[in-house]
Amino acid sequence: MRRMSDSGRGSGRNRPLLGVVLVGALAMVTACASGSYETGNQDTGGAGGTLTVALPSDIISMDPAMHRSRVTQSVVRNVFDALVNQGPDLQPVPELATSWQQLDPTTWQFDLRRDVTFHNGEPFDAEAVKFSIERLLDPDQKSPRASMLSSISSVEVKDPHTVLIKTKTPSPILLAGLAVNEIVPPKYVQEVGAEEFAKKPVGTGPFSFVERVPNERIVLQANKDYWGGAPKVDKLVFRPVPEVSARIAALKSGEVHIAAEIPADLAPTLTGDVKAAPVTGTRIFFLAMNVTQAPFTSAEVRAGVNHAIDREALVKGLYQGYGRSLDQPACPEMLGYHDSFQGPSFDLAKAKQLLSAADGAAVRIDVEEKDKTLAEAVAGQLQQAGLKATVNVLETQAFTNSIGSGASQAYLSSWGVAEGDADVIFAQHFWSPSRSSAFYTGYRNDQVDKLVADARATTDQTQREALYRQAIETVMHDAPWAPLLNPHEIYGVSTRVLDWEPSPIGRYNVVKTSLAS
Amino acid sequence: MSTTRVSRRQSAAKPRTRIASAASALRRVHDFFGGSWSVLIALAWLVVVIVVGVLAPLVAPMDPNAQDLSNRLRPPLTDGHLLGTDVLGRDVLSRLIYGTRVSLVVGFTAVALSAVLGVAIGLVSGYLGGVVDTVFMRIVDAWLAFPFLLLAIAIVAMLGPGLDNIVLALVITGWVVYARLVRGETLSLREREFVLSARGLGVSRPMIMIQHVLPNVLAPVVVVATLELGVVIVTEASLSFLGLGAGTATPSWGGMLADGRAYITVAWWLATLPGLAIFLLVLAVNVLGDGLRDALDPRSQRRMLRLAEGFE
Amino acid sequence: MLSFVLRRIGQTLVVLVLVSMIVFALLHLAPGDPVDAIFAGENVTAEQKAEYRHQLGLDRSPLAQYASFAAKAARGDLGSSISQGVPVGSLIAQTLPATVELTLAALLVAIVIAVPVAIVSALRQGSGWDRGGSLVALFGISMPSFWLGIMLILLFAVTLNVFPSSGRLDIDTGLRPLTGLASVDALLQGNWVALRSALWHLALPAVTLGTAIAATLARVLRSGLLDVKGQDYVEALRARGLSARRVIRHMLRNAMPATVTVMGVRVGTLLGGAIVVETVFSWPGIGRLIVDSIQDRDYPVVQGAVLMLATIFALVNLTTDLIHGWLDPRVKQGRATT
Repeated sequence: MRRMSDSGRGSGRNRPLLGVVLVGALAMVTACASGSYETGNQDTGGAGGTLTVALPSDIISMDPAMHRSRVTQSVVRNVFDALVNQGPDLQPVPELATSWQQLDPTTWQFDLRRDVTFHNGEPFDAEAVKFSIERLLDPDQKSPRASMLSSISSVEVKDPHTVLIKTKTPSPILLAGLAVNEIVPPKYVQEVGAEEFAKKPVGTGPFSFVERVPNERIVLQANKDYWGGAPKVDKLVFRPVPEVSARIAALKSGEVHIAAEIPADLAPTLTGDVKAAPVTGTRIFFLAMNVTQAPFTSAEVRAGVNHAIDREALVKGLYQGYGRSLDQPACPEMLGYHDSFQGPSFDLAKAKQLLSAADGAAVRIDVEEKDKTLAEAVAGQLQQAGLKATVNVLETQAFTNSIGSGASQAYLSSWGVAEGDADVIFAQHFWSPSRSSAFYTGYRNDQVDKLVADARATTDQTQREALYRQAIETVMHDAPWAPLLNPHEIYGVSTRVLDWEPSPIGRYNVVKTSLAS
Repeated sequence: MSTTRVSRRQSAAKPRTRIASAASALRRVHDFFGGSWSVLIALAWLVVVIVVGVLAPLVAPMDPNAQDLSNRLRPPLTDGHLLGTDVLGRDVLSRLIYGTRVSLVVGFTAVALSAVLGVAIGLVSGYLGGVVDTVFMRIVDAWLAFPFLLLAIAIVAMLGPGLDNIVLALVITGWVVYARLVRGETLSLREREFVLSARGLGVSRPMIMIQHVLPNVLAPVVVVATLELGVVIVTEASLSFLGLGAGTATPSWGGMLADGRAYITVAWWLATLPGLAIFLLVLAVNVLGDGLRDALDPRSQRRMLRLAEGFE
Repeated sequence: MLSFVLRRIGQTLVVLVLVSMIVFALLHLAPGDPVDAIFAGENVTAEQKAEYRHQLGLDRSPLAQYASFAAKAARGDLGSSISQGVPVGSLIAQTLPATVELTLAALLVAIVIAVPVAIVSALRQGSGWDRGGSLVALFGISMPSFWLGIMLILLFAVTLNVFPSSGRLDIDTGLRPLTGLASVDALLQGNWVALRSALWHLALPAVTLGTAIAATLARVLRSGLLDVKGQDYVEALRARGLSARRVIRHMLRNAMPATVTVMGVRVGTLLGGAIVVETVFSWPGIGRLIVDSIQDRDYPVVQGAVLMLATIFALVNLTTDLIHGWLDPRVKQGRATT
């Protein structure tokens, strides 16, 4: 017994009892848990059924102003509407605004839909629009989305169904910004405050909010009075399932009906009651080269890199054909896409010749964990062409820091262009005035700078398209980037789901969707 | 006993002496471990793994980084790929072989450094006693209460992935075990005759610690170190699994497991085989550690090892 | 006695402060901050990020930030998550019960496996049973828990489709939260659908975590029992003709304190194992919360959650120390104990 008490504790009999008491106390402590799971019996027992969607991650918040995540938006957009939405070609279509016109370069007038009410009965009108936008831009609100509408200088209520939005300078991407920021009910929000609003959100959307259990589910109920027609299903449930195999397992077992973000390699396993539903995506993958660091100071080397990469093999091999190779920093649906452009072809001999200018320099491609496989494949292709390329995996924050400060020699990443406008890519990556934002490739070309500035200053879309065509040609000639590919978004869907179109931007528009039995 | 063996050896014919001496060496190891064959097998496996790791370029059938996009996700026993290929068409067997290097290097380095640090602190703390001891042991208590994996995650997140940072994280979390063990034993040895007489002779304190106390605590330290080796290998794999691994230049078992996790429904071998490799190595290390513990004089060392047992 | 109590409380507070400082320092030394995480891959300029940082008070000096965190924490206010805007306290309240449930279930599994194995091993020391049991325990501690988890998923969820591979509960079970432990609540409410769902989801993660614990528990308990067995009074009990079962009960009771002590030391490892298991099975517990928040550099969540865990550990230790101190006459008289 003496040996037992070496660590100076434990007097026999009381320990096990103590353990029980402590465990009980712990259980009591956790009894203050609120809403760990279903808070009640919400049995509607309707004929429409419950449509369940598996998300790749949990949402941030149900408050449309307090997040910056595509997954969150896909859920929030079912409870809230915005002034405009994005059509299949990603261009603006009416939603809460039935029509709009530009009165002068900095003034836009929106005509609002009539007879629309929020889920709590509050009427939708111009005041709601003014309130929602001003709330977003209010520094006290601390919304991470403020920068999306920062071009707006004022919002005026002309009459209950007309709104005037004035911008500081002509803003060609105003509509793109309005398409992703939803309208909230002013009286309700002011009454309950932001925190309570996020817990019990009220909007004008096709579904009303029932409950949210973090990391478990978000439950929405059909809004029978929806202005766009009542949804066919009774309930819409979102379940975050970050683990890919678990997501597929849930789909196959019937626990969920739609599963997001299925990797291309696993798409062939969706057979029987489920199938893969691919749709062209809006994510551009690229290899960025720091033009201020050797060997990428040499235009020859950069051109060589572009010729060394067999994009088709990557799409066929890594993505099972679920994707499109890119010869420019834009994808076909984007405004500004150059459809007659002749990009760099895969030419191993030419690449080897050009890359000899690198003199055997070692190249380190920084990448985040999630893009590691693509980076390794690209590095392998570059090695075959004679460039000593290796992959360096960085933790997410370290990666952001490295590429933003110009420390990276080269990096592989992707940029989502859900807005469908080339300005998104150019302003961030090829426009030198944005150098204060992030260093990225250090690329600088006065001609491109002027083209981009001009394109930002006008709202004439035809003119902008011409400007971007030129910009693309110049940028691809200088080649600070090797654009790679644009993968499809692959969803898994149960064969019971009828009338559902997969969305290229990760949305779930299920108003017309129904479940067969 | 030994004289009989020696004479037996000497009386053997010349060509046979090599084999006979090897056999008798084996026999001695076998007897040292209490006649247990499992320990011998474990030791043999460990030696095999080390040899494979050192001679990886010679043993591996292919370049572990050679990609073949047209031959991805092939199952084991495919032509030319005994254990199949991974998501980029790389040979799994070759990657497993090269992976031993990471596990062994990280394992041995982390254990060696932790042991040195922990033993030093434990010696000083136990010998000096008093305030120094109390402070050190409070720190140790706090350290132990802290979930070491969280600490390792935080350190790697802070410093970035890479072999040296992982070893650093492992050492920072691992030294405590040795410190506690050595401190306890030093405390009791401090009052023993040979120490007291050395002090009486005026031997300086550091000399006493190194010459008199240290040799007596080494045996249990070796046992604990062997067991800790298994823990360290698994921790490194866990960190890789959580995405904080060694980076991609060299394949690592933990990294292979993490990569293979997503493909478990279409390519079970990608996650299963690296895990099996980890399991077998750690098993061998643990069997060896247990064997070492049993081989030591059970009575005097048992008490110390009771403390050590809590830290497997 | 009073001085002992005060001293221990004081030491606990010091430890807690130290822990919070270490966590704070580590987080702020790491590259990147929560704003970078929120705007990752978004079209935001550096000025806009700086503005947002200023709004959140993240551009103050680390000392100022720590001071404000400490001041609020002392009042019980752990702040709000930067990426989600939700109070840290509510995040912890949602995730801690999940981890507690998983841990308790794993402990149950571990006890059910380990205790019989240890008893048999100790009673029949050196026999085939003993060696077999020891071998199985050895296997258990050698197996990386995430590998075991993946293997179990592969076998039971994917191939046999018996158990679910992730999550905690099916939807639409109508379960009301009481203690926060799904299985207990289902039992208390007589909701059998929910009970089955909770247990089925608990099965694989609890077995994965429990196996690792069981292996160590078996080994420690076995040596504890062997020590007890060698003592004279056990022979005396047997000689008196006490049934085997009662002798075993005596032995267990006496081997318990040391076993609990040794296992108690390993609580830190237990949480580490829980983190890994929670990741593999997408279990919505506090381990996963911390790991995700470290990735997002969500300082308040990491600090708050770690502080909460450390406080629980420290309180448990403190309580046991105090009770031990109360029972140990040496302490009462103010004499040294170690």
